[in-house]
Amino acid sequence: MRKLHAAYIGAFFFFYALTFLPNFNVFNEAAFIGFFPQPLVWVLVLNAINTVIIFLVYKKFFKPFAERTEQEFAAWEKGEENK
Amino acid sequence: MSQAAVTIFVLVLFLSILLWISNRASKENVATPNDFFLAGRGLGTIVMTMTTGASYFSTWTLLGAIGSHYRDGVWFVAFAAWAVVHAMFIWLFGTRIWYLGRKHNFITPGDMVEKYFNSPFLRILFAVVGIVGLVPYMLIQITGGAFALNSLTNNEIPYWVGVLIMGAFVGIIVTLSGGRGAAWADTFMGFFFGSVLLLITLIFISRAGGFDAFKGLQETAPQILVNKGNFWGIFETALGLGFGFWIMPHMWQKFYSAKSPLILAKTSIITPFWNSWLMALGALFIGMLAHTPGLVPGLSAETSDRIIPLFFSTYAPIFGSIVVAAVIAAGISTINSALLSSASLLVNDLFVRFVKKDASLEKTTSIAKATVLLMTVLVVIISFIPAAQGFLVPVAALGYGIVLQLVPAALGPLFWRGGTKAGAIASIFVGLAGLTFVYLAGSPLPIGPATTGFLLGLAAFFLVSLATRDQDTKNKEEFHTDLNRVFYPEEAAYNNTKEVAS
Repeated sequence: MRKLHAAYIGAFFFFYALTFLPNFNVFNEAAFIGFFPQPLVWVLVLNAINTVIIFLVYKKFFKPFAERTEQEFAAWEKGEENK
Repeated sequence: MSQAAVTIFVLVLFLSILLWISNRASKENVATPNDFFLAGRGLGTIVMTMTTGASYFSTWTLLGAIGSHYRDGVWFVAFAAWAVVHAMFIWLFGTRIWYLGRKHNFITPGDMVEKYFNSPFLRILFAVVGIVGLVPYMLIQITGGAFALNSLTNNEIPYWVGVLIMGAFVGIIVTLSGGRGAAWADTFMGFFFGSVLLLITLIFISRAGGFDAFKGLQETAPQILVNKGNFWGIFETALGLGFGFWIMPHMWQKFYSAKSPLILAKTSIITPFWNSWLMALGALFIGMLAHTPGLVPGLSAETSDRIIPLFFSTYAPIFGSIVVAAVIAAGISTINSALLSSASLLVNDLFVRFVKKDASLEKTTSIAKATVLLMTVLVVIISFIPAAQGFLVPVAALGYGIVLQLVPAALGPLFWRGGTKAGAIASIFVGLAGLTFVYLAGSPLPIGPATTGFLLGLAAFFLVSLATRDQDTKNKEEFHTDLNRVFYPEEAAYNNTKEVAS
């Protein structure tokens, strides 16, 4: 689980790091792809990928964690009431 | 009716709505710091999403980020990228802050670090650095709103009147309604300035030539269509404004305020759309397309932080008044949380903790309200200093850069059990010293002040922690055992089985 989690987080920050490439003149030509300049398209595509990863992290890790933790606190609060 | 009269009418209407919301919220308030600062830890998904977004986005988004895109073009698209990272930060940091905050009833970041490291001194450091970092950030909300009023009304409403309007109103509503009122008002203001930004973006795209709007810039401003290549410059801003989403005290406390982790989870999946795809890209479109010839008359690099007011003062003054109300909404929705947070640091972390330990909850809340008013007056006074009236993004980045130096120490309770008290203290001093030195004296390296401080602080935290040992590790063990159990239950269960077997 920890490894899978690390893979998702690693992929996310890898794609984020790639958004800086136009600063080094990679994907930074004065050309258009569709309606937008190339460096802008590059960042938007990577942002779209990372948005999808956010959804995957939500489904695989965040939501299960949230449900688990809510149960823990519900049980804890019940215990406090019964004291 | 003159532009100034229309603007005043719209402002009065807008501020009346805010006052009504704050008044309603205040009726649900209970006189405890928990309720006053953290809205009773009961924020739901919509309010949580809007209040985190509205507290983060401010006049630097509606004015400053647009100006940065005008001056620097596609280079500043990094803003859209780090705004997606915010969602990941809710998962990586927000959840841990929420869990520990709920379990130990923390109100400020200082509460957490003092308990974890068993160090009252670290609480003081977190409080002082937090307050110092929040001041520039609060400042730009006041100056940005006042400049917007001034530009739209062609100097009919002077800067100083704008400053006083912003200051007086913020002081009143925050004192009146506390964290709950701030969150409710943020929800209203977030929807308001988000809708206005979307509308302005569509207007700019349409006026600049629709789908071919960017192609139209090839002749007039080709330099903004390619990245100008200052990596360390954008990295500096991205680091401060990216990490600022959770390390700034007012954002940290937002995580304490969520009703449940499921609320945070839902907030995380809405965040990329709200923070990046709407706010950041809206600012990009408006700022870059403002280069379209004749679109914003009288625009220059010096006035680029006022593109929206300038545009509407020319074409649609009535709508411009609504836009200025939106700019002011963005400012108020940030400064209210920042004011509350700075008051909580002063009152909870310094006054009650070290001076008046026996203060009742009611007394503490009253002192907090008085502190909010004092902080408001302080920020209003500073906003009259000429040096405080610079470009919005650099001033905001300075505030974020200062608080960024707390990140290494915060990694202790949130992630790394190897971090020691000496390491945490050293990281803050080394980070701030590095930042100050490079800020004042410059650096032979291309790295900016905040990044220099951050990297040095990280190194100091790691190395000093390896070389030192904490005497009392009970709380540290408890923190990390709890976090491991809830984040990696299978691993925790396996370890337990192994322990029983042996």
